[in-house]
Amino acid sequence: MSFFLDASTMEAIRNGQFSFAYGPHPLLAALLFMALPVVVWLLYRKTTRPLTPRWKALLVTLRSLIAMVLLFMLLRPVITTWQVNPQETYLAVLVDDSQSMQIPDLAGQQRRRDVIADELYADNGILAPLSQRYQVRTFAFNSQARRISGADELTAAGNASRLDQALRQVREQLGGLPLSAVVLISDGADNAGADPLTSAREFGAEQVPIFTVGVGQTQIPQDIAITEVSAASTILDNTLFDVQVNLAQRGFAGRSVRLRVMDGETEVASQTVLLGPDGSSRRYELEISPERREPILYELQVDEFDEEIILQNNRYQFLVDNSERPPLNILYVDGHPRNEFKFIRRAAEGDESLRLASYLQTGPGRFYRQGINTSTELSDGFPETAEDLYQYQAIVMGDIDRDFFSDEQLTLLQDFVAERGGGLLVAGMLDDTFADTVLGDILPVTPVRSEVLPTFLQGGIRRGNHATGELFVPRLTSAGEFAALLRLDSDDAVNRRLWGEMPALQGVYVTGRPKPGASVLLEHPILQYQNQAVPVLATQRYGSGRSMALTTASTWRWQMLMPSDDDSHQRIWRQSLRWLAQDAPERVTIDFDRAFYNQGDRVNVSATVLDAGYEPDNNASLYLQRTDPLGDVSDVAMSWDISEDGVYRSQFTADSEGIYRVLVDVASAAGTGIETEKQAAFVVTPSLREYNNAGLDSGMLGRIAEASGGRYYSLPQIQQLVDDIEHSPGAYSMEVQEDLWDKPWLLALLIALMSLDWMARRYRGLS
Amino acid sequence: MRLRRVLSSLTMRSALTALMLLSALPALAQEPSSTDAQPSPRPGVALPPDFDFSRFRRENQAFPDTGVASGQQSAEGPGTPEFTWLRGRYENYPGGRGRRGGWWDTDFPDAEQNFMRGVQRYTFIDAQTYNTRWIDLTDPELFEHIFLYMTMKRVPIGGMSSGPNFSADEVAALREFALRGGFVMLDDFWGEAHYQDFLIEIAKIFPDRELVRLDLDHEIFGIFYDIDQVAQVPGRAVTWDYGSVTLDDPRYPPSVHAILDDAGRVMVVASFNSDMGDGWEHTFHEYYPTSMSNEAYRLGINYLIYAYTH
Repeated sequence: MSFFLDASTMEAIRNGQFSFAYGPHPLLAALLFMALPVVVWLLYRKTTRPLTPRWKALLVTLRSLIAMVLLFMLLRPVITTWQVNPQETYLAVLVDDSQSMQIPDLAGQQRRRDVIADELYADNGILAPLSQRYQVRTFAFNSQARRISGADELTAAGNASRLDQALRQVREQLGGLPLSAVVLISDGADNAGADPLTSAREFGAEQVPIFTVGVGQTQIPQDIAITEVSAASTILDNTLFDVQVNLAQRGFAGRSVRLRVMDGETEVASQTVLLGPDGSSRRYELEISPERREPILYELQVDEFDEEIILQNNRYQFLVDNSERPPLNILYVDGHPRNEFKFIRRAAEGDESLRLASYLQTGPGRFYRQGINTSTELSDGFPETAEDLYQYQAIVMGDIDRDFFSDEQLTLLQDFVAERGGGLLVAGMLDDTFADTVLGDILPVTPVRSEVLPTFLQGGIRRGNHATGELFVPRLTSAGEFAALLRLDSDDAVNRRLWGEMPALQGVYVTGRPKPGASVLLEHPILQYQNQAVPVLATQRYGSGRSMALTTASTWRWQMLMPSDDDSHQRIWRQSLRWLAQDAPERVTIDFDRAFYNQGDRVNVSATVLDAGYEPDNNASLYLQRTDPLGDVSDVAMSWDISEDGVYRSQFTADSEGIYRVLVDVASAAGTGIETEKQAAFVVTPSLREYNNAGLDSGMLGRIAEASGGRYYSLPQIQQLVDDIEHSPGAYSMEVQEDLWDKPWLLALLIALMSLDWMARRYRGLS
Repeated sequence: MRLRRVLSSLTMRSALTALMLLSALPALAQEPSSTDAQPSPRPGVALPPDFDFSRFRRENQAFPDTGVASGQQSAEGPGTPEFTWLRGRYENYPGGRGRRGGWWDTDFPDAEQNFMRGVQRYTFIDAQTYNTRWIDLTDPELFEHIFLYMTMKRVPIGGMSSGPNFSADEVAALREFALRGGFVMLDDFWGEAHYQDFLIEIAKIFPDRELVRLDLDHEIFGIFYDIDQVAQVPGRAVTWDYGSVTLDDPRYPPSVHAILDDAGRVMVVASFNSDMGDGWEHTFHEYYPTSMSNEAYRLGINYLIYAYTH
């Protein structure tokens, strides 16, 4: 029992839980208190020795106070409070044991975990007093909660903090037991995705308050953190990857640091970057060109400073899947041998990520096929069935007659773009007879019949004495300047210079206005039609695919009129062809629900299967073969997700760090021609989520406490918690009346007053 | 061994050149400048044995450099067709670009114009009969085209005087033309001496590339027409002299040689012991064997289609 009133008593008094056990009517009590000084004053009217008024007032006051204290004690003041019977109920103490508890951001650079261990288990730790009243059950939690019995079991090793999961588990484990309250000690940095407030409210509904204790600093004062890394292959080259890095920092504004990409012990790329202002996050870009055709695990590293509090987030592992991929299949049909055909072929041939299957009409009744996979491919000309045509991801049409296509083939071409999601490029001049066909729909520009053009725009793309046959230097529009398919260099200034050095083209095919959704990338510098510059290169989305129109047949000049070691022509064509083809869906695609996983995470893998007509296929049977980082192989069945057409799912837990490869085997019920296997990889990396955004989230902890009827404390206030818990209303606490008359301070006050009174009377010589 | 042969032929060639120079001095004095406008004027010397009167008549007409002669307009609209037949004019041995030093304009322009007529008829290449011209190898306009024809003709057979002697600029232009994607067709050289001379010239252009002999299973022989034999297309004063034709003269086994680029594509093709130019030129000559003209057309068209697709 403390000498003065406990904080909880004061609180109870403040809350109006104070009363007199033998309390008469409050008016009467007030009257009695008021009557006492009057009575004393009457008794002091006559004294054995004369007194000055001052002395009399003093003596009357002292005696009145004594009488009032006595009266107060006799009325038996009580506060109404709650108590549990000792050892009859349970108290759950949940301690965050995730990696963020290793962060040394507490006073004296102490680790969070160490301070918590002290506060719990040291001599004056809170567990001892709590144990006197409760059956204390202590849990450590990260992604799961577990019982612990001592400080040494706090390892701060878990790579996730799941408050919600921890609360649920405690409820399950202590279900049926009389649980009085829960103490939750954490930094509040929850990263589970599930809202812990739901659980908190459930506890609140059962009158089990959660008392939360926040650990750590709200903001880590000195830290450089790699918060995100993503790598995607560039459009120029499938074997070249752009690595995007997000770097957050506090305390190192304006310092320059070195970013390094490591493949094992080998540095494969590096860059020195300047850090932004404190608290900011900046994006940086590096380029890597993996040497092995397989999934490769890289580690991004950033310089470590001595003052940094968290070093773990200065490294970040990421996966680059540089596996061999089947080339993109592109069908190129051209009506006659021409320079453009030759050089588009040459550009594509040097790129192993592209297969250009071409069908060239060389002479009457004669055609020449190149790049074909089988002797029958394209042997009957332009494919007539969806199954044959849809094996390509993009189609290039050269200078070809309308007669080359049947009406059905043109419709198929439209479906190819709109339904199958393929790309279509018309390169060169379109025959007038195409003007009223579906091509007019698909293309980003509207073909017009030449006779409706003004005279000065007539004459076609051949060289001669007409404006449309002249040499011209195409103008790069602002959309074109930043379009990936026309990029000659990633640096804007260099790109602009290189475009300025490109030789002139010759001859433009005049079309109508670009469609509303089209982007014009190149336009004629002089010629205008319908008050707009004549488009030279334009693109647009069409249905689920995309289309492109190139209205000149002279890009070959970029090859023949530039030095042989210049690759501008190849680069533009490869990028354009890849752009056309790369977003066309594949028959089988594998997706993971996350970009990377941490140890112990649940991996949700889904496979989307399309049939030969590129419709979702719900009748396939899929098997997933998984190879873990240690080389162990296991089979997992995939089952159709009844709510999504063509989607098959499976899930498993990733137990070890490293690269997992999966191989999905598809046997289509429809049978023919299906890609039977598809490979993919994902990575399980050391987790950084406990180190990024690892500042104390007192708001979250406060809300949990509030939702459950408990209270939030910062770590230094933890001692107060012991007393508060006991006096908080709970499901198992009883309402008790606590006497205040026997408080030591009250007795001390009485004795002090009586002594003063006695001494005063003696001094004045009263009897 | 081969090197020694080349060296000995070099010395022989030098000697012959000296002789030739002496005897041709008066003629050289009258030779017009090599930068004359097209067509190339006939040098005012004694007529060569293969003088052709029809050609004499034609070369006094305006040469249809660009534009289209009446009646030849393509159905595909106005303007110059994309394909122009280029015949390379080059530095001759022992010097100059005129006739007596070399034979770059042999069969010009009948051969190509006949051939173009065939190309127009049998293929979809955007060509026209009169859209042919010669070009100096150093002319930057060379790079506006993808196909270059050159005759490697030398006179006489077995001799090494006359014929091409590519200058450094020409060598650089030819190499660059081929590396950028241009296709070079060489024609009409006969016998071992010519072959050695050809090797010297080709080695100037591509000192680091090997000359390969193309077998009949090479794609170029089946790309348009299926060619099952490399024909010895008769050349005037070699296997044909207006009266009699010696077919398949065993002294001159025909073959096709090529220089390939890094991707294995043919950049330069050379018909040895064969005169495709004559095959085209004499299409309508009653004594010239039609079958051999046909062979020249067939192989020529295959070269063209190959050039357009590789």
